[in-house]
Amino acid sequence: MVVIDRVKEDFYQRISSDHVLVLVYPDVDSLCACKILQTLFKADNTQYTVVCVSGISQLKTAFTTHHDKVRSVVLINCGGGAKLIELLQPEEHICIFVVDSVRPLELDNVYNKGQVHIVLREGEVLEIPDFDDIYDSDQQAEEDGEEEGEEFFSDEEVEDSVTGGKRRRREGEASYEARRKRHLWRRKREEILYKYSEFNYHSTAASLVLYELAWRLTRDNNELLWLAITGLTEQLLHEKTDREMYVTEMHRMQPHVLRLNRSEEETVSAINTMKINFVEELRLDLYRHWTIYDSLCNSCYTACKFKVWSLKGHKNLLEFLADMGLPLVQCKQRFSAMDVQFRENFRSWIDRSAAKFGLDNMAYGSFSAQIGYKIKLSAADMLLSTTALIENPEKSTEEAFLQALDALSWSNVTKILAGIETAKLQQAAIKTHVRNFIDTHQVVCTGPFVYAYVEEGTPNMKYFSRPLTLCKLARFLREAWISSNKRARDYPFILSAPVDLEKGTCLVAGVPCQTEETRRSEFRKAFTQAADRTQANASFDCFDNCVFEMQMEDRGKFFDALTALCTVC
Amino acid sequence: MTRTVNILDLGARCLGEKALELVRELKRSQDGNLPPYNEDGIRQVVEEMRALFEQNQLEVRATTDGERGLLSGIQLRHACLERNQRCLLAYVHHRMTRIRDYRWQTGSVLPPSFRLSLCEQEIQWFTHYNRSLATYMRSIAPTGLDLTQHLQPPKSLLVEVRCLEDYGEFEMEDGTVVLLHKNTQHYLPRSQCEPLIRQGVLEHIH
Repeated sequence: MVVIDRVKEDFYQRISSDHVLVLVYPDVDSLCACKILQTLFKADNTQYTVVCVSGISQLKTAFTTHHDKVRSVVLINCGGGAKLIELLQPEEHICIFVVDSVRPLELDNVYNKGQVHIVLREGEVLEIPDFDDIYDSDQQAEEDGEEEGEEFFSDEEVEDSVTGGKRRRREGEASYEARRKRHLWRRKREEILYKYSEFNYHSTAASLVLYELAWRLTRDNNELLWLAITGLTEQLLHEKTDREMYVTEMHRMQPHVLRLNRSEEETVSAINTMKINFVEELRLDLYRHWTIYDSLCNSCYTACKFKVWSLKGHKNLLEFLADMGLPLVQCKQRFSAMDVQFRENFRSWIDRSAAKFGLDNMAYGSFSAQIGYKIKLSAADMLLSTTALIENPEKSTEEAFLQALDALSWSNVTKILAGIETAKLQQAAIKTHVRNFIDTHQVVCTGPFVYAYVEEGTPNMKYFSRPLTLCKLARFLREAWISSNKRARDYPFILSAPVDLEKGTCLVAGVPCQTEETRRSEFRKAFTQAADRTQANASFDCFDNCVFEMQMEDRGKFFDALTALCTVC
Repeated sequence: MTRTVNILDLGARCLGEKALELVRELKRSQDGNLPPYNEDGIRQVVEEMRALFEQNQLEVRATTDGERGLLSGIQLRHACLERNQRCLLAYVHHRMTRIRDYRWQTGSVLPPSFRLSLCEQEIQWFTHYNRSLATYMRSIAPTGLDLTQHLQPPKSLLVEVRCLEDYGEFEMEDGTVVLLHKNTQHYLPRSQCEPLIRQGVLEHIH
């Protein structure tokens, strides 16, 4: 069942009286959503348990171990696309609420009355086929279900209608008509289902849905707003949605920001409160916490525009800096340690020079938060730091998840700053890898798509065995490849990296092509079909539709099958 | 003059030094464990006090008999006696406070290591104190209220805890059962989590 209008009554009030099990996928949007939900629960003294699930099998394990202790389960960004009733087999009294940004949602979940509820934001329109097109409540359908369409014109029937009496003939005709109708209905249903599940995309972020709930409960404050903004920024920077949708959502957040951060000239507000304001953010990762030079070299946008791995590109970059009027010595110093005049004028200089050097989409609208005099973070900084914390290679997924969850509260802002340092290492590792790939020409362009492998034994490989970072590397590599081969923009990009050397598995991530402005990907369908054809040992466990795991030996066959599949389509 | 020399013969460098030693000993050990009851030191101070007192008695009798020039000596010794008394009382009282705080922080059972530092009378006092405290706590509420549990009023009913090891099922007072698996985070009633937090199974998240 879909819960849209009465989110407060149908969702929140139903769960806030029991002990709730919250299952969360480890990515930034889900973490922010979880934190918002935790804050709401704390205010209402609702007991809860938070468990991290990164795949379908983990979801099942967590549910089976915990389910007889709880009555309500909330799934955040996991399970929206899986058949929950079949998979989890919950008992009668258990209610499952799903807050998922992945589309398309599994139809069994949407049309289930009673146990599975999908929570959406008010005003969201779900494009789903009608109930009657998918489910036939007619009893006869099951009886005739085994018959194939070919039997319509079987000779026996003709004989029956001839040898039998008039009544039998009429019965035969009636049943033939019914069967034909059913066959047509079934074919139409298959078509509808195929079209429905063809493309995977993302809709409203889970953190935005929960922020809206908090707002309706009038329990929203700057902290929750900041979490919602971080979740939204992830959608843009991790390319889950397109720019238009991001801008629309941003405009929806603006009134909240203005309402909660009213700056009055007369009253002096405490300096230690958090203040959020709107800024035009540059596509330079972490430049306020890094040196300008490092940030230019390691951010995907600028590195690919300038092609910093080549000598000419590097010279171009230095020219750019010179054009801006920033001495190289200053650029190689930490941003906060630069001379005041450079720091203050940096924004205007870069805007002026960016157009000259072809950096058109350098700026985008975003928000930044400030506490006290020392700590100022932009939404992108927060996002990069949280991603680095979640995918910390030294810790297991669950531990890293809990650490990242801790870091999201502003009383632990030192953890975010530590995360920023890790993020810098990660970015540098990604860029070095991309440079290696380009230099050694390891990116292969087969007809319908472009792919690359991360070899075993490459340094810093530990960063790339996690889905989020692998996708980041894939995007960066793709941008880098496109900067040299413009044609490749029309093709999707697939990257594979080893994840577990003992078991011999590797992770495969896909980045869709960006011909239209939408971010729809057909990877899940294509990958499943190719894996079926080659009988590859692949597990589509991960909730991220563009990522899956398989055995390394099957990789070659898989890519061949995928090539064949894509050439056909 | 000859009489003050007698006191110096007692072995103390000057009057009241020994008592000050006792007090200093306690002050130095404030951060650490309670030192054993210094019977020796107390005995010496009491000896000193007795010697001073006897001397004083003699001189008072002599003065009433008519001798002169002894009054300042008597005053000095009296002041010394009072100082010693004050130091001894401070010593005993401070120890008593420490033992009482120990009860509030740790519990009513005396581990042998702590017991060694107490003298007989102190142990008896501890038992009496325990008994009085228990009677009082029982009298507040029908089921008895353990006042020593929360020395600071708790900020909230429920606390956020993280599970550090696999504990298994944990049943709470109202019947709900929670599965404490490693690396899960829970929000549970404070009173029921406290023993697990002390054991180290759960970690309190602020």
